[in-house]
Amino acid sequence: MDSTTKTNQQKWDELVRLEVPCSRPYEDLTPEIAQTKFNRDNILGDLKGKNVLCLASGGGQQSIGFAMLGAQVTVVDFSEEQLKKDKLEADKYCLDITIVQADMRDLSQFEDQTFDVVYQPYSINYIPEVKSVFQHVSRILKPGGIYHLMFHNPFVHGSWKDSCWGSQWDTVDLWHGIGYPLTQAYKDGLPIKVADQTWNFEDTQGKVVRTSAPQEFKHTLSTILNTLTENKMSLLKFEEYTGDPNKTSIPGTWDHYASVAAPWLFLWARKIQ
Amino acid sequence: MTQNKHYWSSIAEKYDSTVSETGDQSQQLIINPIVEEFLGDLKGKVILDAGCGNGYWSRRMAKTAERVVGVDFTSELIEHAKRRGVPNNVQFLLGNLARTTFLDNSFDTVLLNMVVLDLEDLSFVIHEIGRVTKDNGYVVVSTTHPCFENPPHTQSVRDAQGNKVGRTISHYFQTGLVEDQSNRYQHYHHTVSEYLNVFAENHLFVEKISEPNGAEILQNGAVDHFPYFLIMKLKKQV
Repeated sequence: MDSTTKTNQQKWDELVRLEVPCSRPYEDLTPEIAQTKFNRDNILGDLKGKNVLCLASGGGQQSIGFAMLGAQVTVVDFSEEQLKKDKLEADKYCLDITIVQADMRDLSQFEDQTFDVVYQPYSINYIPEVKSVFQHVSRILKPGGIYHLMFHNPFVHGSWKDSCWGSQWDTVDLWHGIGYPLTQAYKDGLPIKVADQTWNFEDTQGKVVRTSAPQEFKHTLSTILNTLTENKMSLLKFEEYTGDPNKTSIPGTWDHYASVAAPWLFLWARKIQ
Repeated sequence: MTQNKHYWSSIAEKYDSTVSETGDQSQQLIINPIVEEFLGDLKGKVILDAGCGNGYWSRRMAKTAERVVGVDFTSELIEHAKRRGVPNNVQFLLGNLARTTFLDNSFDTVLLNMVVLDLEDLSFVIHEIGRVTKDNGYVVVSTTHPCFENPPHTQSVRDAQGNKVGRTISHYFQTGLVEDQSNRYQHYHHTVSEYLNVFAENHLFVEKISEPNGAEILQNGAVDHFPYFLIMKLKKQV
């Protein structure tokens, strides 16, 4: 494992111990809620009995949701702390899931054409290139199987002052009446420089935690889409995160930023038959 | 549609002299080489140049293609296309891309060169393009990059000397008509997801996509790291 990945791995173990919000299992998850969160419009089809790989997806969120929907779930993550959350949650609901600690770039332990669905939440931006991941995903997907990927919108990646959550974000106005500044080059694999390199969030007791950020890398739209095609996966659907339309948007706030600049992108691609 | 048609009629003369037989500077240096690559070998192919303007791409493709049909909804532009010369294997037609007269599966390749940004509603035209393209045929689309378009969507940030040092992003989700009264310029803003989803819904799947860095290619001195255009090769797969 390279030194950046090693550092990110240790960072994620630490973030989990600090109770970062994206590693907290959902409270009161039900099959209905899981369907809304992970299989909206039934885009992945009926998941009962299907083989689902939750890729770089530890933290007890997605794996539990898919297990509730009747899927045979395998969850892979490089962080042991993340995977402990999956184990705890699976035990809590008495669900049977397979837990594997591995780097997302090396899925060689899985046979060809094993999975109906590979579901990858925000994680591909922690590695500098996507090719090795897509090669493995394509190989282990069954023909007609679906790969879901969430990634950072490359057009705006690195444009905010740091990666704060919620109210913590709203302390400095970057809008300046004209727009949020895009200052980092549009280049695939670019290491993201974040102004003060911290993540700020509230833990479960409401205490504000400030900690250094994991290293992220920019992946351009063309690299993502061309690498999918090269690996025999064709794009079915594409979404840009538009924030919460019910929230009032004061320029400079996170909600305003998300309503004009789409921080995250989501895609669904099908392995060619 | 009427508004856009009026706009194109009003700029037809100026457009024809700017574009001429080669395209403007951006087209020559940035767009054309990629469109050429995405079109591939046109030998023996039947081509639709959808939104052909003054027809310079139709004439260019006709040098190798079997047959080219150029369609545009602006009569002034079709007149310019005819005035500039109609090779034996080229036909220029005045028509609406949302409702053409062509049969299903008529064309091996369809070119939409800098056209989709002039469509208020993508769905009708892309549905029609999907219909007239043969199975396993290609559609090549070029447009301004939706993420880095003109104001209000992005603006250049300049230093004290007036050099471009970066950009801002704003109003990305505000789709529809964009007008610049002073430059008498207009187009329709669509998001990346609008484009990609309307293609996929019409069985047109991304085969290759290019986001050329305009500042690097034009060497215009702008420290402007962003792609100016979005160019896509789509394959029809039913």
